[in-house]
Amino acid sequence: MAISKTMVSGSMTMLLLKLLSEKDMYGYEMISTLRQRSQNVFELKAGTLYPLLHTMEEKKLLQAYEQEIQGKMRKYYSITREGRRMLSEKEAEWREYAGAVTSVLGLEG
Amino acid sequence: MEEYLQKVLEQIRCKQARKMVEEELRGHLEEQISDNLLEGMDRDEAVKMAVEDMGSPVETGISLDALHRPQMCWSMIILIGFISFLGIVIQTVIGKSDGTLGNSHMIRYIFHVVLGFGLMLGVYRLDYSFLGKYAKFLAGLGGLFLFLQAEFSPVSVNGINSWVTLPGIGTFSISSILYLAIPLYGGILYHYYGQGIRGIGKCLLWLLLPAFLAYCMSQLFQAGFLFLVEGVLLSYAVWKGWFQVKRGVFLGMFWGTTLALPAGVAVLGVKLHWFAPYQIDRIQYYLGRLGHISEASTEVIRENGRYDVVQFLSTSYGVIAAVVVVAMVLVLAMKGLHVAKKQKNQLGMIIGYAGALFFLFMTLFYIGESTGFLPVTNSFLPFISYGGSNLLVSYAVLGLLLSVYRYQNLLPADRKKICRISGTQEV
Repeated sequence: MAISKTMVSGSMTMLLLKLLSEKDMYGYEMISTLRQRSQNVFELKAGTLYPLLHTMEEKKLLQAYEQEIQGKMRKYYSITREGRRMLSEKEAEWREYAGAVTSVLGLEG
Repeated sequence: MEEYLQKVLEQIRCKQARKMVEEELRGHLEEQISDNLLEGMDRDEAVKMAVEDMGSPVETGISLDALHRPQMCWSMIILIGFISFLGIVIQTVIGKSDGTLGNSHMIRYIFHVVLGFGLMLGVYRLDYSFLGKYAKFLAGLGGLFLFLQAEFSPVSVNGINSWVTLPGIGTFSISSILYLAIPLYGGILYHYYGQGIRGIGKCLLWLLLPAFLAYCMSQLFQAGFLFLVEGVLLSYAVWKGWFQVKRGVFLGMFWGTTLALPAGVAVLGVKLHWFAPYQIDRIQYYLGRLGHISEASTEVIRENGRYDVVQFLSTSYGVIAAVVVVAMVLVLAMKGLHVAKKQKNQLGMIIGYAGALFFLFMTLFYIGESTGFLPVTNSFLPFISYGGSNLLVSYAVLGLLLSVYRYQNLLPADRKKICRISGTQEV
């Protein structure tokens, strides 16, 4: 099922922070992991991902560093303390929101 | 693929940002192409699909362009503009109030402020990251040049030999130029990032070099000042884990030795009468054993013939005027510390701290001297005190701070962090 773009983009920062809270990743890895975990619902374009990552880096939610793996230089992103704080806030917000939507739609039970 | 990258890069106006973006997007495309090939596509199809997956190059480029622009720290520019204006007003009033100084006092000061402003804007345009590559070279060559000049072909101004003539440019105070060792030391610390105890050893040697040069020129205050500011920078780098050593042990040893050595020399000097009587007087005064300093040690103020801006303002316009002027310079230094703290690039951070600490410590020493808490030294109030070389050096260092701010979103990520993660040495 196609999910509207605004619905995805609003929560994308939270999803990326969640991925990076588990381990440091490079851009391509983030897109593949998101796709797999969401059963192909989140098909994030690189053109959307990198500006978002760079914005998050500027806001000090992420930190970037380069590392050479098998002869390839990759730019890895790691979550900062500020990023973890933001993630827990967003997660709490999301749970409250999702719970409210579920209640209104009468899907519980 | 090249067409896609070119289209993205065409949207990004800042040259320095393009390289960083290109490397990241190219890496992404290559990963995608390899995966597509593994899925059984032929080369052309694999490339075509990978490019399609990237999205619109123009939209991507526009978004990245908005994020990666050179930035001007307007608050700092406005503040320095105001401080420079105040400096001109103060030195003009000093010139008018003292008939012996004449108009040349004011004209020389304004000339150096204008030149300094130009120098600041020139340095601001430079990409400060050259300090990461060439700091050692510049410090070594500069140190050698200044040492040879001071030792073998000194230029004498007002009876003091520590001056150097740069062909076609002018005559400068060597001790003022030596203050540039502080931002260079930031670059040197970055150069030895991740090199453990050996790196620290080399950083300690580089720390002693400018202090030794100043000592050779009998600039004792400056030797101590350079050691102190660079020692704080080294301590900060160690504290941030740049050298993978036990931080507490190193800092305890470093500052313990730094404090114990001069204290030991002072005690022995007084006991064994190594020092001149007025020097012993001073030491005893600061230890609280003497009610006042003898005439011999206060005479220096008059001998040097320079005006203490804080004292001049306090007596002419009241203490509040002096406090306001000093506070403005302190705000500039604090603003510099804030800029340094914000940097994600480690080189930018350490260079920023170097510049800000130079202004902060110099101003604090100047306040200490003006209020009589510290002995009379060669400290100066950055951007306000009279002295062409000091003014030019202050503006150049501020230019570096502005350059750090300008390029904060344009330089690539730190390749050096690899050391911290894998624990291996950078090659």
